[in-house]
Amino acid sequence: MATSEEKIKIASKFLKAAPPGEINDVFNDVRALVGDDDLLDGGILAALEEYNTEELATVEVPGVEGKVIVSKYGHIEGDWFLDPKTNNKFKLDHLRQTASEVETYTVEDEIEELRKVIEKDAEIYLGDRYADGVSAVYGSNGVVTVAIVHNKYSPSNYWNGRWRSVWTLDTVTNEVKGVMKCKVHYYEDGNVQLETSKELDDKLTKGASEPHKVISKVFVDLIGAAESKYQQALNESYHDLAESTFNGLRRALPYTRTKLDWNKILTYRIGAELAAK
Amino acid sequence: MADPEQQLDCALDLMRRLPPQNSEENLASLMTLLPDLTEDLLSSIDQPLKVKTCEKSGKEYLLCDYNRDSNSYRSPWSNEFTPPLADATYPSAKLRKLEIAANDAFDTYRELYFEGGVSSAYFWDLENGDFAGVVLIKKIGDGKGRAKGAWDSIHIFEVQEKARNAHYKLTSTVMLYMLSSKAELGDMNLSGSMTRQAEQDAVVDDSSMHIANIGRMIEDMETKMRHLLKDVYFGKTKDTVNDLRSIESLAKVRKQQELQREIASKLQERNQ
Repeated sequence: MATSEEKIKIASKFLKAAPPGEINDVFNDVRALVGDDDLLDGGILAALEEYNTEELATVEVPGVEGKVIVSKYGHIEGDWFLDPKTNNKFKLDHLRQTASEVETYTVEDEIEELRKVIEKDAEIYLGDRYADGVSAVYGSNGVVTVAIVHNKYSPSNYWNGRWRSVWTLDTVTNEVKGVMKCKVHYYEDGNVQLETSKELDDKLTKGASEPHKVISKVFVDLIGAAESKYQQALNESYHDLAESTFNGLRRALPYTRTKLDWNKILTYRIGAELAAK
Repeated sequence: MADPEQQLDCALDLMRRLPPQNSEENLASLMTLLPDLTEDLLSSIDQPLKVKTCEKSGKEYLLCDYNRDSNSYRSPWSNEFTPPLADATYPSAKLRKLEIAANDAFDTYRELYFEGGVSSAYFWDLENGDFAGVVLIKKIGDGKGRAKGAWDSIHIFEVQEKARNAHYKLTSTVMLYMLSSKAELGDMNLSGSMTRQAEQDAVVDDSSMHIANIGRMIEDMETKMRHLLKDVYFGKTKDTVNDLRSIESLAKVRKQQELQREIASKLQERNQ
């Protein structure tokens, strides 16, 4: 039998690997497999917290319009997270992905004004490229972080998808770091998954001496251009995989352009032996 | 106490959800959690096929749960288990003849469709003289360019003889793994498996016709599944990516759609 420690380790690994929109399904399976709710409840909290913050879970916060991103950049302490858009903090139930106990929380940081400008521009950018995306812009210690997530769930058609990207701007060095990730799960009579990840380093052409709206525009433009370029590379890779890799594995028809003549194969290869039976 | 049947269902549901890229590791974890269900898990969760070289013939063959007995695997070429096994189960002499013929026939099939790779066929006897078998094919891409690919076919069939006819039941699974890595792309992993079933009746004048009947069924099924995989891998998942983020400005897309609607309604007005 597996020890309690092994069980928790395996349960945590399964939960963290849950495809977009399927954390509850994975949780229900894991619960039946482990068969010990007391052990599970205490043991998997860290895994759920990691899943929610890494996957940029979006939750509804009482009194706040739209969805709010949960991320490590907005982590205050314990189960408390920041909604920088409304200057609120909320308590998160990591298992149910629900927020409660909303309280005002003001961030006092030198870059708060720049952050606000970037927040507006990021929202405009999101509306132009993501049909139903959610963004959050955080500022702390001279670094502005933009988190973007767009989920599309269609469990009745057996597919779910998630795009995530996180961009940071160091306002001192003007250095930009980005990471873009995509996950798609298709599971009608099968299990097909796309998993992509791309990291990027860049630098802003305009820096601290410029007005906030100039820095913000250059930063958000950079994000948009990089994401489009990445999306193009992804589409090109799809084309290459389909045309070259896939075709090199199995042909649609043999090079003779006809299907096999099974009777002939049998007579030709082994007819003699079988005839002798 | 947990109900083992329910646990097996949950394990299978979980395997349908977790990334197929890690299926071997996930199966090992499931066996750690559910040691009593090890045999059920091994027989119901398809794993990437492993290749072994037959010591006697020097030819490669594929390993799966159907040529496994304890920790030994039977070569379709020599009919011998490695490591050697004292009380192993073999197909009857009559069925072994058919199995040899099937291995030869699917070797030709594989060469024509896959132009490489490895194939193996394993048969086993059922009650009343019926039998079942599995045809396995594995092809690893030549690795030209920066993308890697691998195709595994697992075709499991059951044959019921009825006078001059036979009823065939086929369950086919294709596992397809593709990896690409480039500077502008980063890492891309597009992998998974799909399963389909088919049933058919066909005439059997002598037992060698079973192989032709099964062969045609597998050929049709694999060709059908190739279309399906192409559609899901390069159509559906790609469309989802481009639904998640629009490569065009959504404002522009909406404007174009509006314009199209306007033109369409104007044309309609004129035609009335």
